[in-house]
Amino acid sequence: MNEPVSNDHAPESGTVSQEYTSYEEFYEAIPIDGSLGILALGAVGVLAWKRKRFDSGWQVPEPVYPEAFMKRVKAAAQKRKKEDSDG
Amino acid sequence: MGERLARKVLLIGWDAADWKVINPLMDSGQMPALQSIVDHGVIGNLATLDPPMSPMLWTSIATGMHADKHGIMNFTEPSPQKEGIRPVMSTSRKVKAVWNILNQNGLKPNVVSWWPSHPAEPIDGIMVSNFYQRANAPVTLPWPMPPGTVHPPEKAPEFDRLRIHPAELTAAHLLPFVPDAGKVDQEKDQHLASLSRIIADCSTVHAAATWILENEPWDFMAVYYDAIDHFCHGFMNYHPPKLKWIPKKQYELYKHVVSGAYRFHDMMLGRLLQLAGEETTVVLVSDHGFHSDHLRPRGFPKEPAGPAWQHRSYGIFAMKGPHVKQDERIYGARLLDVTPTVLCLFGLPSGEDMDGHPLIQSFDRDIPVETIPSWEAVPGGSGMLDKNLRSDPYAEREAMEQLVALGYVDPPGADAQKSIDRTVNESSFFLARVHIDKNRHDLALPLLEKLHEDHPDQVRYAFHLAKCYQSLGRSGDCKRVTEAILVHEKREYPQLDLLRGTLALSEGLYHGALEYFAKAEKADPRLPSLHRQIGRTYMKLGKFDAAEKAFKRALNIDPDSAHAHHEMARVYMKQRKLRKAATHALDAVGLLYHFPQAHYTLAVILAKLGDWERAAQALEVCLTMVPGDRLARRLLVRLYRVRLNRPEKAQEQESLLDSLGKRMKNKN
Repeated sequence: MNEPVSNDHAPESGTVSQEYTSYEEFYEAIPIDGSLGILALGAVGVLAWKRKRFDSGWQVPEPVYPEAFMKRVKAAAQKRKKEDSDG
Repeated sequence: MGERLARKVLLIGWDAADWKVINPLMDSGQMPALQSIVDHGVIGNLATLDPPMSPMLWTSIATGMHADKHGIMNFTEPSPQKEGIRPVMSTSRKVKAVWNILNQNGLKPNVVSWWPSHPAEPIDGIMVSNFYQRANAPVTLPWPMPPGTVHPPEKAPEFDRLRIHPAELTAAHLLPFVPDAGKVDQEKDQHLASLSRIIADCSTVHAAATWILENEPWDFMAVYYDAIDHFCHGFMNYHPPKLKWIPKKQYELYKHVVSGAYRFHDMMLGRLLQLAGEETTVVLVSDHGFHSDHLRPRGFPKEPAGPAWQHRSYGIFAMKGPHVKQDERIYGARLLDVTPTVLCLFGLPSGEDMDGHPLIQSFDRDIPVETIPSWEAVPGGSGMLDKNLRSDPYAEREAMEQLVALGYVDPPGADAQKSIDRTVNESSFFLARVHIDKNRHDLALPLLEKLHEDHPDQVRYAFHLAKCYQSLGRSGDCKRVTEAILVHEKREYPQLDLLRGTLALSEGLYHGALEYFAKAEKADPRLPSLHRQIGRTYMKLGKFDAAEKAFKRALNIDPDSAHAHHEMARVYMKQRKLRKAATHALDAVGLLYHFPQAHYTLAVILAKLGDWERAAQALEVCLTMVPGDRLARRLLVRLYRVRLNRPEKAQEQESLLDSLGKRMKNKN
């Protein structure tokens, strides 16, 4: 693991101590859906993930909560399972 | 001021974390961050307090005091305008927390989400209250932080943007916990919604903590994560091994959630350790454990705080840092010792009004224990709140709903006064239990008598009153209340048979006691303390083999019962199996250090083994806990005079014995 690196020019300040050598590299590696690892990074991960999502045109979920959210989770899980079994 | 051992201290709270779940995960390499603390520091059990109510316990951790002193009694409290009840607030804490003491000593404290900490206190560092993480509206609507969530208030926007709404989470966040989430019937099963709320809440807390670590100066940082408790209340019944009453389908769906929760916490811990740096002293604690094995209760009483039946008596303690011993186990730590230990790390004395002591056995050098009468009397800017401050009742309602959803509190009734009365009564009941926990039955009695008089139909009040009378030697009153319970309770009630048996035992009616115990055993063979009472009865009858079997049954049910180990030590002593007796006595004091009878028993066993030095040490410990124990002091005098040839020590103890005698005479 490399030493923590800081990037003063990044949209969010903070350090990222992973295998990344720059904030841009870290930002590129973040999946739009996020991950537990990103959440565990704390502020840096959360802010970068939110930024990535914004940049990708992510829309806030439908106003019905939690049922609609749960349906999306179900669909995503089924999709992932299908992808796993296909691939 | 004493020697400062720590440059910085990071205190992390994991509500309900338990070594019983952690150990197998660490052994299989799934919690590397915690493993690094274990390998480079000290660990131990952290004995909880009764009643095991989290806001009360976390305040005891933060103050070093029992609840009768710090004032946080319950999950809820009447709101000042008497319009109803509200979640317990930081304004109700009567004494300084560790961060206030550090603040007034010129150190910079930061606090995140401690329970209770709303409204945030005006300390010199940053405080983010326990209302911070609540998503109190759908994601498409504004969900502002309640006023008072962040101190200083100008930092609020910085923290606002770190909050994660449950609806922002995706399958990527849930599938590690529930790989077959797609199979969950969302119309009938709300577990995934609950899971997403817990993950969002704790990720929000974690984001705030890491932001402070990266961006703000600090000497002390306290961060509290409640998620393990919530994960466990929601999913522990699905944790392996499978419980027979859990449907296989549900088990298969949710069996990974609890271990996933611990692994997620370990990932967050790893990040905290990384940001805190090697030079920081890290203290990780939990307020109680959580039954994860055959002791998981199938249900719990439908009463306020009933879910606490799932809690186990021992939380976790782990600490690493400069001058902390490495890879060692410590014994006898209590929640109350955390604040004195943090003060000690900064070279500051404990208050003599604190109920805990610094865990100096954790350090690699001899540290003298320094005290002052009280930190409450010490002037200086502590950053405490004005007690008369009121918080936003709208925001509090959301937190209240969460407590209701978790089953910790009943929904507030339509009649606000009823809700207030209910909260006041429960707080009074909890205070009585605090007094009982401190062995002050005399203080508990008037509270329980009043509760029983006002609510004769409430069995738990009557039951505790009967036990209180029994402890005070008032058998007649105990019987009267017991009979009253029998009139009200038509159903089978093994706890009552256990109580009646214990009463008969105290009256010397041993065979009658065994009859009651047999009846209780038939109804509930795993009733806590039942087999100990059976064993004690056989001890009285001189049937030591039968007693040994009973205590073995007690230890099979709960191997971590300090009292069962103590009884086992006593029966082995009677059987002259002194080595075995010593092992169990050591286990008893290791599990529960503040257990003077067990230290006395250990001393007697060690004396019988000819280990006079350690016997005297055990008696000294016993006498620090009960200075008025004449039997222990007489034995100590004899040991010093006859066996250890220390006449001056014997004389010192004899003088204390004399003054005790004079005091008793004057009292009479």
